Amino acid sequence: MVVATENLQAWSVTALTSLIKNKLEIEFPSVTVLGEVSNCKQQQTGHWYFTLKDEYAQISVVMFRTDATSLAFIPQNGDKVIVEGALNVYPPGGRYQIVIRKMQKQGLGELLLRLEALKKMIHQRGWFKKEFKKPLPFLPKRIGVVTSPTGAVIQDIIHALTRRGGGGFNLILNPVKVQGEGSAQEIAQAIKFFNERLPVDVIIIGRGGGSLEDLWSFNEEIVAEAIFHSKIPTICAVGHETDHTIAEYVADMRASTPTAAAEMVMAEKLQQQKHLNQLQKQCQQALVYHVRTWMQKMDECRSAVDRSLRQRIQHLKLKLAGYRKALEARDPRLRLKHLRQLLVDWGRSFDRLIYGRMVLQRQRLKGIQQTLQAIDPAHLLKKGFSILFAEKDGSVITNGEKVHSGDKVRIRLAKGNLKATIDRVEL
Amino acid sequence: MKEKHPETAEQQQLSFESAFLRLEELLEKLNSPETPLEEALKYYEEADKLITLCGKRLNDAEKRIEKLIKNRNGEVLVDESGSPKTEPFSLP
Repeated sequence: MVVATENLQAWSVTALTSLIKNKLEIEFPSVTVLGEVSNCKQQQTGHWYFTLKDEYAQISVVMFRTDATSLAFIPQNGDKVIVEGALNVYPPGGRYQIVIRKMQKQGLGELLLRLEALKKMIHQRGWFKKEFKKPLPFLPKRIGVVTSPTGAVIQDIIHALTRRGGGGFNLILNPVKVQGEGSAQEIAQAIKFFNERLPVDVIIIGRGGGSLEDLWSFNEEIVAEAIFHSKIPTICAVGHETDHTIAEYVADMRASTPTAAAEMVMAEKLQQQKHLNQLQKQCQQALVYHVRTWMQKMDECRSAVDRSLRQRIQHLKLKLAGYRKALEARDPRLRLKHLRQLLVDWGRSFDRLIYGRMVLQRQRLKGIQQTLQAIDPAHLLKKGFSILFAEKDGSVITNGEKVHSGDKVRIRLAKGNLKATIDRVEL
Repeated sequence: MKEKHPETAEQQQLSFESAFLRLEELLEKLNSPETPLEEALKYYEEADKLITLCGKRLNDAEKRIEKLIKNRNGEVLVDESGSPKTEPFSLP
């Protein structure tokens, strides 16, 4: 805004600054500047402030915290850096500055440029193409490792192989330098060595994490070439945070860590093992099922046999009981018993009958006895009668005509005998 | 590394594949309710043997960790027969 004074037209400071701000910021929305860091300090807020200078000029630089977190290094005075950002005018301070979004060390910048160029070249050669990737062998047993013998990489690989693979592998370490001068040549040579002299099943090429400079040998053309021409499948495991190295792109497989590389080697084996275990389990289950089915069938048969047997037995039992009853009814002992009873009954009747008759006879006998008693001569003798016997022949004399006087006789009394002589016979 | 590699990876893969094919076949027979028990037992025995064999194959190589011996110039040393020299490597 222009205000009129006595005779001159003048800008307000704000207006001029605002104009400058617009002009500059629109003109330089994105600049890349090379310079040396000085007056470098980081505020508590996390923002970085420093001056970028060269021989003849300097410019203020600010890097806000959100952008500063992605810095790969801590800027120090004297660092030659390339910054990328936008020009910005700060009206309260009357200053212009660059608000930067990215900053890298100058050397690194060159490296990155070289990396990009290399990538492009190798890409053009087609070495990154999928069609060149070899599959890992079926069950790698001999594992070549190209790495430092002292680093964590070889330890991680051995641990992972032992843990996951449970033995059953032959590891051959080809010890190499993994950084510094000559390291790329050593790595490339080691890969060639395995191919030409010691045919292993797979080669793991690895190193731990580091800065772009540290990892540089893995970006070298000679290494890429050795990997590409390797007939043995390769796994490349280079620790890093962001970009991959060229070696990883060219290798058949890329592993994020050495442990992951070892696991890739063992993956098929574990898979097969799993498959085997599964098959074994299934076979066992199938067999158990079979046996169970047959056992069940057997049980069914058994109970069916049991049932029919029981039924038959029951049937026979009933039949037997019927026979027994019939038999019992026809038991001769029963008849005998019956007859015996009959006999007893008859016997009793006879007894009764005979007894009656006996009583009767006994009474008759008694009557006869009495009669006989009454006519017994002895009895008569007692009553006063006597018997006369002829002496000459002992005969009883009942007729007087047969006796003659003078005959000798014997007279029998109840008690004693008398001898007499007949005096006279009276007829 | 004087001994020869007993089987190439390709041969191994083939023998595994045929073993698995046979195993699948056996499993199918085992699963069939028509298979008589006696035969099922035979099939199971065969499957068990095959599984044991494959398992042994998976783990047959003995664990060996070696390091190539190099001279100061970084060249691998070789023995009289021209084989690269190795030494056992153990973790520090």
